[in-house]
Order: sequence, then C-alpha cells, then structure tokens
Amino acid sequence: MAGSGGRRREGRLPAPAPRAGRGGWRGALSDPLVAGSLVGAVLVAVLLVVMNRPDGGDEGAFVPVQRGQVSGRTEGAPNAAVTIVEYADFQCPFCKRHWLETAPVLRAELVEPGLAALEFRHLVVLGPESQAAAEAAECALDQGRFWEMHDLLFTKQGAERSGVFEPAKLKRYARELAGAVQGPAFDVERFDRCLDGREKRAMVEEMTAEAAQLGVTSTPSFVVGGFLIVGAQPAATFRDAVATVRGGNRP
Amino acid sequence: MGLAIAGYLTVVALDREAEPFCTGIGDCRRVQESDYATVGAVPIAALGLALYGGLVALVGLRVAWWRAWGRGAPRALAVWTFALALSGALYSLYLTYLELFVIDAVCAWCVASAAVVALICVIAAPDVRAAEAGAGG
Repeated sequence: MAGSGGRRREGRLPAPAPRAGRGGWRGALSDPLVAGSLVGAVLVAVLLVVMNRPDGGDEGAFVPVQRGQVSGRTEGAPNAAVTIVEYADFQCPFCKRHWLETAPVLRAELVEPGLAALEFRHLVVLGPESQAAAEAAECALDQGRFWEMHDLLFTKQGAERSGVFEPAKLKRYARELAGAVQGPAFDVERFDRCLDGREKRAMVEEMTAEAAQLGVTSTPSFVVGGFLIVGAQPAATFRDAVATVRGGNRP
Repeated sequence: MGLAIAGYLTVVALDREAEPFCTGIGDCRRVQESDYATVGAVPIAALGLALYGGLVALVGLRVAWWRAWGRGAPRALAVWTFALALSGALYSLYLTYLELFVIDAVCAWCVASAAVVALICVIAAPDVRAAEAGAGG
C-alpha cells in the first residue's frame, strides 16, 4: 500500500502521460511482455487449483471409521466386563480430539480384545446446535447408523455455534452419509421426519439430565466402573482405569 | 495488511495447537482443517504469504529504482506486479467459491485477504496501461 504513491509518481515522471483510454488495454495486451505475464498469471492460478484438489478428487468423501461389533450407541461386546461410558457434545473440540486421537487406541487395545466396551451418551453443553446434532445422531440410530453419523458429525465440527449443525446442514450431512454407507440404504426422508419432528429431543435431554445427576458437568467426561475421568485424557488413563476395575478395585 | 493476514494464518496452519485461532465472524478453523487447506504439503496461507512477499519485493524494487535513478523502473516490474496480484486474485476467487459452496464455512481472514489482493490488482492495473501509453509516446 505504501508503495502505491511512489508507483504512481514514477509512471508519470518522463512526461505528462497521455490518458489511457479504452484502447489502452488493447494496446497493452498486444505487447508480448504484458500478454505473456497475464497468461502466466492465469496459468499459475489454474495450476494451483488443479493441485489443490483433494486426493481422489471427489470433494473429500466421508469414510466412516471401521468398527467391529456395535449395538446402538455401544461399540464392542455387550457383555464386556467393563464399559467406558463417554459423555460428549458434538461441538466440543476436545471431544473431537478424543475421537481422533484416543478412541482408535482404545478400540485396538481394549475393545477388539474384548476387555471393554465403549458407550456414547449425550451431554449437551454448547447450546441448540449441540442439541440438534445429538438428535441427528439418535435419528440415525433408528436406522442402525449411530456410529456413522457420530463420525460424520465430528468430521463436520466447526467453531462453536457457527451454524455447522443447523437442521438444514444436518439434513445435508444425512444425504452425504446415505451416499457413504455400505449395506442397507439410509432413508433420508425418514431421517428428515425424525429431525423435523424433534422425536429425539426428550431422549437427549434425559441423557443430559442423567449426566448432571452423576456429577458430570463438562465434556468429554468418562465413567469407567465408578471412576470419573474428565477431559481428553491419554489412552493410558483409560487402560489403568479398566485394569483397576477388572481387578476388582472400585473407587 | 495482506502480509499480516497471511502471516497470521500461516502461523496458525503450522501450529496445530493454535485453537481456536479465529473467533467472531465465520469459521476459520473448519476452513483451515478442510481437505482444501493445502497445496501438496504447503498450507494455502503460506502461498498467500509468498504472494504478498513477492508484491512487497516488486514494489520495493520499483521505489528503490526511482530513488536511485530518478526515473521510472523498467516496465516489466509494473507488469509483473499486476500479473502477480491478478494470479492471487483469481486464486482467491476460487478459494472463496470453495468456502461458500464446498466447505460450507467462511473464514473472515481469508475473505479479507481476497479483498486486499483484489484491491492491489485494481490499484496496479492502471500502471500497466500507463506504461504502455508512455512507451508508445
């Protein structure tokens, strides 16, 4: 910006420059220097656009996490000796961090060997969009797609209360999910009816109230056989808690 | 201004712990974490930093030339300044399209940067025509 004044002065220095009229650009473009530079500028922009395409070039298609046995909101064997109950909010960044960084480790080390199961429960702490996202997950559960919607919602997570989980967006995500899942088709119209009718509102509110009764007030929080783990703790914390509970020790 | 914006976004892009880095209008974090936030391994914000750095260098060269020689710098510098700004403006247009219609989130800093580079493009354009007129005279 500071240089623009100097630039204007230098361009006019030799003589009062004739005002460039409408033909000025035509004349300028006939100059190989100008034409070549402009073509180069456009080519650079196009090259960057081409190089910016995500791998696969399909707009970053959603791929759900591969899980073994799931049942409703629970991942792992229903009769596992220990259940890690997670209370989370889809708008909470630390919940997303747990999903991205810790949950895969727990899945490999605790769930797949049958040592523990993971259960997800809603604790809405960040307002109406969190409530709507939780209801969307429950509507997806009606069609056996809770975990796929769970993964998609964390994938879509943005800044808190930014409109990412408005109902119209949630319906769009449901269509994305329908295109991504294998097996039985996901009925988006049924999902829309569930979401529009607020069919899961009471259920989500009850879970949030239940968490409050347990003394769980922030997300993510985890209950492991009576132990309360607060925050996105490392996998070792969960390993220790599960080992303690399996050893018969409870707080 | 453009350097400051691009510099800030580059720091945030490289520091994964910087969270939340953009509050208020829009959703910069979502834009920054999208599949479109890099070209290869290079954050888009770093490209912006290079763009503004190049523009500052070109304008600096022209000013230095004028101060040293008391006459206008070679015409190529004016043309390249405009071409570089045009390249940045076109790419910013594409990025703004992605924000609005693909990522579904708008980064206020990115929009501000697009406005700045478009403004630079408009300011630099007359120099290309004036240089042509001067050369012809």
